[in-house]
Amino acid sequence: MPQLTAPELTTISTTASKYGATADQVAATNFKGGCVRVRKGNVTFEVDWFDPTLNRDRTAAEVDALMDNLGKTLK
Amino acid sequence: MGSQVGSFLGAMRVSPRDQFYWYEDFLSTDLSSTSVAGTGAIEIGGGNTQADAGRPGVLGLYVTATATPDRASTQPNATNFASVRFQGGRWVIEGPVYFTNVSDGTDNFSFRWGFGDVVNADFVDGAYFEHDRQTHGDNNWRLVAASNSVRTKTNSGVAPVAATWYRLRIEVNDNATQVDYYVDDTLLGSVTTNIPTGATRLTHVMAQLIKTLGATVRRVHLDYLEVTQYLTTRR
Repeated sequence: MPQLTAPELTTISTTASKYGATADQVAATNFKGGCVRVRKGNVTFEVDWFDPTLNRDRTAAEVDALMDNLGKTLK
Repeated sequence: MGSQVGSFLGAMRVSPRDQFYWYEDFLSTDLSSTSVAGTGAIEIGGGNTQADAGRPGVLGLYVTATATPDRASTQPNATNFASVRFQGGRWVIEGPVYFTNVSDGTDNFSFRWGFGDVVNADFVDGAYFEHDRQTHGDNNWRLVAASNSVRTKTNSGVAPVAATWYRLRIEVNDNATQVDYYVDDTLLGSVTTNIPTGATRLTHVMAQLIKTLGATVRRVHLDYLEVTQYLTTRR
């Protein structure tokens, strides 16, 4: 299960901060794979590392793009 | 009189051409399939499920330990998790749930209920309620929509308590642009992002219990599950 490198997490955190949100990553547990979460107020966006459609792990750039797109929906 | 009643009921009958309808009261597991792992179990009737007059047919989801994976789930079909495609008409799922205990920081569990598609982890595609203290740090209901393992989770600010029946309802609008979440007919909130749509983003109907901390028995009871789609266009 991949983990974000410090620069990758910084990139995603910077993206999240554009929308007043904070980002953190969650390591894999016994019950689910790792993911990245972006939170603002009572809303959390969660992106699993594994992309079921592509059947591979998402890249940090793909996670960042998803978070950027979702961040735009935050008030 | 009898013929008048018969005529009235005949007029009330809804054709499957206009409406999809599925109902399970858990008198047995004949209609529902189940999936368990570890010490997880399914209980139908008997002393371990809620003996509540006026609630015939109660199914219990049961877990004990955090051993990997300790879980129990019920769903209409355990081999096809792609029975529901949003859009084409409003989807409604409703059913009462009852926690014998809620998560307390010593013994935690995740509980997901509604439209979902995975027995042993968070859902890939769906629209559902989530109770998951281990992840969120509180017991509040999360109102969730998931599409291809990208999720929106809204904190409702409302937490269930133990030993109380709650009637949950989720409504996905005609075009799947909004999901509304109700507890006992009170709207807790709506989600408009990450609602799964399209032929590759199918989901299912299910309730899932996974132990996430501790080794004490935890149970969630389900009274019934009712699913309706009000078709936009006659089929």
